[in-house]
Order: sequence, then structure tokens, then C-alpha cells
Amino acid sequence: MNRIGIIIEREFTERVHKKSFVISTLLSPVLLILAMCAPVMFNNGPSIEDINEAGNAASMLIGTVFGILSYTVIIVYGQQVMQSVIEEKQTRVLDVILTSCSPFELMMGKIFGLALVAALQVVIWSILVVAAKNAFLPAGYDMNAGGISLMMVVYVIGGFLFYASMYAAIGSAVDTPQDAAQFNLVIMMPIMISFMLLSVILTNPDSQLAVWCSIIPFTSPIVMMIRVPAGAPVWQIVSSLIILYGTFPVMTWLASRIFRIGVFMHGKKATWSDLGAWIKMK
Amino acid sequence: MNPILKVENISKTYTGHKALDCVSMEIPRGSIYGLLGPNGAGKTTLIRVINRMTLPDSGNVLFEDHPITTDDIYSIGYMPEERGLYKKMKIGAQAVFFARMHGMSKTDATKKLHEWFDRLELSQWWDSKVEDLSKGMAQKVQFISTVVHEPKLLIFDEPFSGFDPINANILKEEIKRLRDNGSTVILSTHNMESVEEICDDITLINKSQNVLSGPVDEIRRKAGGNTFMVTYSGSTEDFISAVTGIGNLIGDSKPVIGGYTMQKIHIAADDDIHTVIGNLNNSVRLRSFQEIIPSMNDIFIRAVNGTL
Repeated sequence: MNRIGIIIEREFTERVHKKSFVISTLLSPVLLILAMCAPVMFNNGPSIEDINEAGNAASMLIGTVFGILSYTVIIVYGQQVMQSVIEEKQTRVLDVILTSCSPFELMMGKIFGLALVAALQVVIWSILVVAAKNAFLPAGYDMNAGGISLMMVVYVIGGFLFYASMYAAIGSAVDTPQDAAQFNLVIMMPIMISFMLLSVILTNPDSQLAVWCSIIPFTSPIVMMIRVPAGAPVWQIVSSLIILYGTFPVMTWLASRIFRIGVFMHGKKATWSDLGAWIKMK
Repeated sequence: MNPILKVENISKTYTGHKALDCVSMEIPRGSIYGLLGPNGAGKTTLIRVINRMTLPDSGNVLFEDHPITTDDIYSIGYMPEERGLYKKMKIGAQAVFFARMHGMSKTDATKKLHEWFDRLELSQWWDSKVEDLSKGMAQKVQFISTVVHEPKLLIFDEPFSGFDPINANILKEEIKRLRDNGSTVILSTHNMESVEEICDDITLINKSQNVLSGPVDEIRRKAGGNTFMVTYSGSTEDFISAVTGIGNLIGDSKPVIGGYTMQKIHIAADDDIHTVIGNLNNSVRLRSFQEIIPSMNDIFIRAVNGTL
């Protein structure tokens, strides 16, 4: 347990000190705030109806932006997990580390370390968004920025945890990022599909498709984020969260079966059937 | 004393290729143990089997008389051939990280590492990244990270590759110091000079098999096979008659500066050596009589070619 903590600490400090982290943390909220303020700015009659109408439009926009953000965070951070495993494999750091901890400890340390970085980033975004809302928008403006932001943190982290272990497993099974492409595509499929459903779900947020996609863990982190600003029912949110966080250990277990073998494999390009065999191997 | 590590009949086959074929060895506690062999002989595979990074098809690895466990592995120090360091992490922080992974506290690790960095003249680079260091410096960092937690067993895969002679010497001294402080060291190497200098025992692996094992001195003496180089002046006939019947000449004689002649001879029985020296002393003017102990380099080549 202690060793996982040390790995988490390393991943977190190394990444938070990078320039790219600071830049993306500060730039993205600007996008969010612009999206939030735009409807109000274009509307010049500040009657209550106007504001509420603007609020609806803002909800849709916010939904879009949050959808895009959680899609980006899951993919970007998932890829980082994969990259860092491949890099450690290429530089043989893996060989050194694995004489001091188990593959499972290493994988969990990496995933939680990056989850912390992602959480920090999303929390900063949310705080900036809420602050901007209080500063720029009129008081009667009907939008629960704080609640939505909280949802954002919960879904992004859940989505990341759900996918990260699979990214780690792929990273362990290949020698170069190029080799990872074939596996990568399959993992990204559900994430991309949920992203492509964006406009369908925005125009009809309570359709069967939208409800199902926001409950299935493969798509829920993105689809539910699109629906939340438009007011998704609480029971749906709660059940999708339970399913998302409940299936994450299952994914992690499967991935760790691949990871523990993959990290020691060199020079041979793994195939799908290899991965299957590694999962079953005793 | 019982050996710290016993490797028993390890075999490992990769798709169609036998990487290790029934290899056994015993590593005496407190020794520097050389693992030699040509490229592709199976040295690295054997090391990976000991580290449990590769599971053998058959055979056992015993650490202090019990089958080696993951906890044992976490207590050893391992330096792979291809160096494993984070390129973009400051070397000080990096070394502290590895030390903590091996169970040292942060304060303890930092203190010990500063001592090591001072001794190997790396202190001023504590906050530099690996990518900004020379290869030799990076290797020193790697070395320190491997040994700082003072493991009972250390495994170095090709520790001298990429070092200039000066740094290689520093490394040899440090490895000896570690042994003298109680660690057992296994090192794989191609560098036969360093084997003569620092290894107490060796195993030579060729074509996946253990072809030669034992203490370095014994192996060298045995491979010499009672061959001597004699330098003398006087008549060749007298020389030959003094040796004949007890030993035999090897090759032709060679004249050397000062009117002397050099001749290699072989004496089968140890007890006859004195007799030959006595005979020679009476019949020619003896200048020197020296046992020829082959270098590890010779032994390596002969063992690999099967002419030992």
C-alpha cells in the first residue's frame, strides 16, 4: 500500500510541475466561461423570460462544453497512462521498478496518480467557472453552475478510472506507441460514439437512446455530462454513477491480468488472442 | 557457509529456441560472482529468471534455502543492461523515489543519497535531468539507485558497458566495497579483465548451458594445465635432455635479448616440477621458470570454442 502511495506521489508531482499542465488548466476555463456568457451577451433585453430563455440556451452550450471536456480529459489522461507505461517499458524503468513492487501496485499507483492530476485540473476549472458565473452573470440567471461542476468532477474521474486500467494494459502489451494503435482504436470506440451522439442527445436529452447511453458505463461519463445541464432525473444520475464506479474494479481486474504479463514481454507484438490468453493465464 | 542463492536445473524455451538448458549454479554468500558468456548465451534470461521476471519451464531458484519469493526480490538490487531511468525527472528526486520504493524513508534516502552523490562526484547535478547528463553520469545514478538501500544481493547486468576506464575503475572499487560490507554481487559481463580483477567465482554460459563454474583462481590454474615458460642460456641439447622423460616441450624455442632462449614446457605431474627445475639448474643457466596462467580472456575463448 505504501509503495502505491509513493508511485502516486511521483506521478502527481512530476505532472503537476509540467508547463503543459499549467497551460491547459488555465486556458480551458476561458472556453467554458465564454460559452456560458455568450447567450447573455447577445441578448439585450434583460427581462426575466429572456434571461430564462438564455439560461436554457446556456444549459445546452454548457452541456456541449462539458461533454467535450469530459471526452477530452478521459482520452488525454487515458493516453497519458498508456504513454507512461510504454515509456517506462522502452527505457527499462519497468524492469527496475518491478524489482521493488508488483505490477498491480505499479498500475494502481499510476492510475490513481493521474486521477489526482485530472481531479485537480477539473476542480480548478469548476472553481473558475463558478467564480466567473458569480462575477459576470445577473443574479436571477437560472443555472446551477456549482452542481454541474461537481457532476463534472465526479463523472470525469469515474470515466477516467473506468478506462485508465485498459489503457495501462495496452501500454504494457506493446513496445511502441505505433503498436498500440490497433488496440487503442477499440477502446476509443465507445468514447467516440458517445461524442458523436452529442447533437442527437442535446436536441432530445430524454430519449431512450440518451437514457441508456447515460447509464451504460462505457458511454455514461460523456453522455450524462451532456444531459446533466438540461436536468436529468436524479435516479438516473445516481444509478449511472453506481454502475460506473461499480464496474471500474471489474475493468481494473481484467486489465491487471493483462498488465502483469505484458510488462515482462519484449520484442513480440501482442495480438488480441495473446491478451485473451494472458487474462486466463494462472 | 550456505550459498545465498542456488539455481537448480533451470530450463527455459522460447518459441522454438532453448534459452536456458538445465543451468545450475550456487552463489556463495559475500562473493562477487561473474556470469559470463557470449552474446545470446542466456545470461540475461537467467538473471530475469532469478528476478522472477521470466518464469522458467522447469527448475528452482532458492534464496537463502527457500524458493525465492516476491518479497525477496523486493529486497535485492537490480541494474538491467539497458539502463532504466526516467529521462525527464531530476536525478536526485529520481534516486530518492527508487530508494523509497525499496522501503527507505524519505529522510534516510535523501541523506544516504547525498553521501553517495558526493562520493561519486555527482552532487552538483542533483537537480539535473537524465537527458542533460552524459551517459557515464547517468550510469552512476543508476548504480547508486541500485545499491543505496544496501541489499543483501545485488545483480548487475553488464555494469561496465559504456564506462570509460576511469569510471569503470571507480565502479569496480565500489562493487568490491559493497562486497566487503557484506553484500553478495552477481554481475554479468563481457569484460574479462574486470572478471580477473574483481570476481571471486564465475559461471560461464555458452549456448544456453553452463560450461564452466568455480573460483576464478582455480579455473585459471586448471586451464593452465602445468605449463611453464623457461628462460635459459646454454645448450639446447642439455635443456632437452633435462626435461625428457618427465615433461615435454611445447612449440619451438625462441631466442630473446641477452643471449637467452625461451621455451614452453609441460609437466604432467605436480611432483615432477621440482625434479625438472633441479635438472635444468644442473644442465643450463636458468634465468626464469614461470607458470603460465591463462587469462580469463583465453579461457573464455577456449571454453566457447570447446577447446578447454
